Amino acid sequence: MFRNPVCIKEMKLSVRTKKTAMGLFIFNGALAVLALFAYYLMFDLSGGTSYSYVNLSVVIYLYAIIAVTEMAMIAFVIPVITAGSIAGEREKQTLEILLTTRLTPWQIVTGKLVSSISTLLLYIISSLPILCIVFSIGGVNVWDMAQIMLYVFVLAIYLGSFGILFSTIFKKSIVATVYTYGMLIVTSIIFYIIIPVTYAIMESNAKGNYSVDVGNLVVINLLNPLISVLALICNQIVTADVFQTISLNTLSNDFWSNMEPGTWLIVSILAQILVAFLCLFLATKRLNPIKKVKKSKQA
Amino acid sequence: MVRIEELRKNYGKFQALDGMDLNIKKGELFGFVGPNGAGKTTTMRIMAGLLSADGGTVMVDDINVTTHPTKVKDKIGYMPDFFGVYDNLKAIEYMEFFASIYGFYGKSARKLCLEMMDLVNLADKENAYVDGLSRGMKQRLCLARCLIHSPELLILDEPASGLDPRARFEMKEILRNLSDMGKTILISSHILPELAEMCTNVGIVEHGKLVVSGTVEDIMSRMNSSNPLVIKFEEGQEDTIQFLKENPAIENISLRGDKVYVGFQGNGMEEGRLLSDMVGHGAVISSYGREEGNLESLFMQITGNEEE
Repeated sequence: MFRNPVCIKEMKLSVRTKKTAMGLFIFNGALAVLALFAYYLMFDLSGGTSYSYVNLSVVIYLYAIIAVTEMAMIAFVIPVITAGSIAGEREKQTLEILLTTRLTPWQIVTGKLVSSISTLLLYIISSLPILCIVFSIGGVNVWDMAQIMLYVFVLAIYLGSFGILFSTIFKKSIVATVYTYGMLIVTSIIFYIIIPVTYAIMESNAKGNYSVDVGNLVVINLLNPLISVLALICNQIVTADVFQTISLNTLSNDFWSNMEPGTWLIVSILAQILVAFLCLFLATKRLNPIKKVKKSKQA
Repeated sequence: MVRIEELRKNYGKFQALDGMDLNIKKGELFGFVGPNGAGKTTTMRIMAGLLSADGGTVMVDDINVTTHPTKVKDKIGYMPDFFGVYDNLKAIEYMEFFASIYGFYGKSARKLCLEMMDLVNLADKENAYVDGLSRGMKQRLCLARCLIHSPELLILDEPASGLDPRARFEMKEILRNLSDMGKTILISSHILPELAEMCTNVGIVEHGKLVVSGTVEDIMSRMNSSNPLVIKFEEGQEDTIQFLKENPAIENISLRGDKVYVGFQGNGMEEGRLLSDMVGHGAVISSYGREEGNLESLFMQITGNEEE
């Protein structure tokens, strides 16, 4: 993949722009401020009073705060990096040139995605010293940290594939970026809200005559990156029932409400990778000019 | 090298190509001429695999563009009518990027890229950022990029558009060199005198169809045969005009300055007989021949009605 000309060119271009340097600075700066503030709240502030003590069982949540914040910030950065990739080529009028070369649309799409992921890796690796603050407390090991990194990788592929798809659909980067953020909101917030709303409607219809559960509706949360992150964190530092409550799986039937966060995470990763491949496949179809017209011909 | 038959393409209700036929032989430098919207760019984009046709066939070196687009892409170098460059790359990096697409890496890629840049007179701009290059240089860099995989056919859409006279001259010289190297070149342009001077063959497109095609000389002679005869009399002008008016083959006669323009349909033999008759009638003639045309006037003649 790293022999992919598009990927190499994109990586070269991305590190030459001020946007990347500024992005890294803001990303790490914000993360560091938040991590140090949380650290201060848990130690210095509580230590400042005569009755205070440090509850080490609570301090572990510093890790959760930093990890979730980093994930959220990465999720925020992904649309900016990926949504402009193909649309940007179109704006620069270089896309047509690429399409007249030996490059296949799949190579263009994957080259763009991999280069975007490599940029995100730069964000993640550069933030490692901040994440390592949690090692000063203990309770978290390197494998836990590696799991976070691995999920960020999946998150980059998942959200990045939306960005790439919208980038092939819309001619302007800004429109593609807005739609990618839209998908982020839909998958992480709307999917989450649908479940309690449905539950409330069902409950009001039941009028207390029978017990209500939302059934398999919670399946949509397999595509919710926020729930995946929660599953990961809960699997590492809290018990399964906390995850079931937060993820709203308790509103469903036994099968989903009893699912361990670790199992949920694996299933959700598979579901998200599947959706990502579907998006990339559609993006490839969109980029292929010959195929596109053939379809309309058949119609 | 290129065989296009009955090519059709519609954009909604607009018919861009209406049965375009075109033949370009190996080694030809073919000029594609036509007013805006005539179908030149659409034809070129179909050839380059950027568009699908609604009907007809396009064969490049006996390979069907629609069914084997990848094979065809190895045979063509396409340069659109815009630059399409990455500003944050150096000229050599831009070239190396395209070289890597065709499987050239490392030192062999660098050598190849420098050769191509030398071919378009950009060897000294190796380390210059593309952003800092002039319009003409960017255009030449794009041309060098097209040549990286040694394509047999170059499809150049308005390569001289927006260039100053010097840059146009340089581009023309480069294209001549490439033609001498045996490349088949299809070039569209609005700068007709340059096309006439440079191209071995031209085709004039109108309403999505090829109206005229052939060598520039062929087309000119065809056009000239319908041009009026221009005669300069030294003596006997009035009498001879009266004499000519009685000839049924004469369509019209007009005077412009010291020359007489005579509308006459006939071949070389008939032109000679007419001259002989006029001399026999007592006229002294110092110059006699068909009015000279050029590609521009031919273009205007063919596409004139459309522009009105």
